[in-house]
Amino acid sequence: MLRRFEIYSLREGAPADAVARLRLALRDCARYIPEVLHSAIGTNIADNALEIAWEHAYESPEAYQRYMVHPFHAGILDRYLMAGPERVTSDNGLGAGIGGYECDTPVYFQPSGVRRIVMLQIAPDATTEQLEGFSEAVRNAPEDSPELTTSVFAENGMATRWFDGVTPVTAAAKWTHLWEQGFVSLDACKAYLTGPSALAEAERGRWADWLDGIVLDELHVTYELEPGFGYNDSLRIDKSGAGA
Amino acid sequence: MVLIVDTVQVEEKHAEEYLDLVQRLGVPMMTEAGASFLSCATGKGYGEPVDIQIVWSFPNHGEWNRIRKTLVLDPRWHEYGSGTAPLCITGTRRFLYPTMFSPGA
Repeated sequence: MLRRFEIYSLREGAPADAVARLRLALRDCARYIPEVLHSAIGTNIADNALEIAWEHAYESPEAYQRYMVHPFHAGILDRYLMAGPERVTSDNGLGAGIGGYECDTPVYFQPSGVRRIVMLQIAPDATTEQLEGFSEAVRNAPEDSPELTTSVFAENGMATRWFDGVTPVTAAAKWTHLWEQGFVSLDACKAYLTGPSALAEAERGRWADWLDGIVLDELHVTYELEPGFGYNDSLRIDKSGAGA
Repeated sequence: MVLIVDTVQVEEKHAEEYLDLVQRLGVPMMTEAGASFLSCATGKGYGEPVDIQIVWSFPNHGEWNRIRKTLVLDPRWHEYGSGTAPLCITGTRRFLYPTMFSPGA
């Protein structure tokens, strides 16, 4: 599977009705492009310029490629996203844009609640052992922080493979890795962030001492899930790894 | 065949600047990427905002996806977008599909 995010800032003066149409088009994309799975949007409440997050997934690179060439993508989504007379988004220099990762099953899925996407720039000379240590810590994070109902750490492959889901078409992305978090509520999210776990402490310290300082930079978005068309009906919502 | 029809309104005083960006950046960028340039036409302002319509075509959405990738990776695309956006009062971009009785359908 391909897990994918698009995260946007809005241009100053973007018409509210056009922004509302974009949000609806993203949220309910699966109504027109059935290859789009688990589509939801959210309004970022973290303190940065990013405003709209769209999360979704595809069964395979082939499914993603069908999305890419669908007329709804070109005619409706790009109407508001690409340079042109109706664009409502803006360039922001934050390097967020498109991101995502490969997974065997929808490990990211949660029916509702709050999502937090932590974008990480990890040092290019980080060792395999350090990355495995990071991955293991994130995988085990819910044991120390039961507020975390979803915790997935992965290479941000979709940032450079956005054309077909397979082939890198741009230089290395600023955000090399993603940590996708899920919570049942904003209160649970806050409880994790202020809690005693080693990861929460590392986040509060902006990762300064984490694994010998392999995290060079961080950016995150936090939003309440607004599930779209067919969100809970989508294929393979078994998170156990068995699939469906 | 699929048509892209960009229709914008610009203030009369900005029409020349807008058209210069289209001719200097937009046309070479789009045609080099693989789109066909069909027309660029303007209304006459007579003190009112000027209507400008630019029409492109491409064979199908698979081809557009390749054109789109080339555009996104072309530095001129961002210069074109940031140059034209502030000049537009309003506008639309529509993908249109010729009817069966249309010439060239």
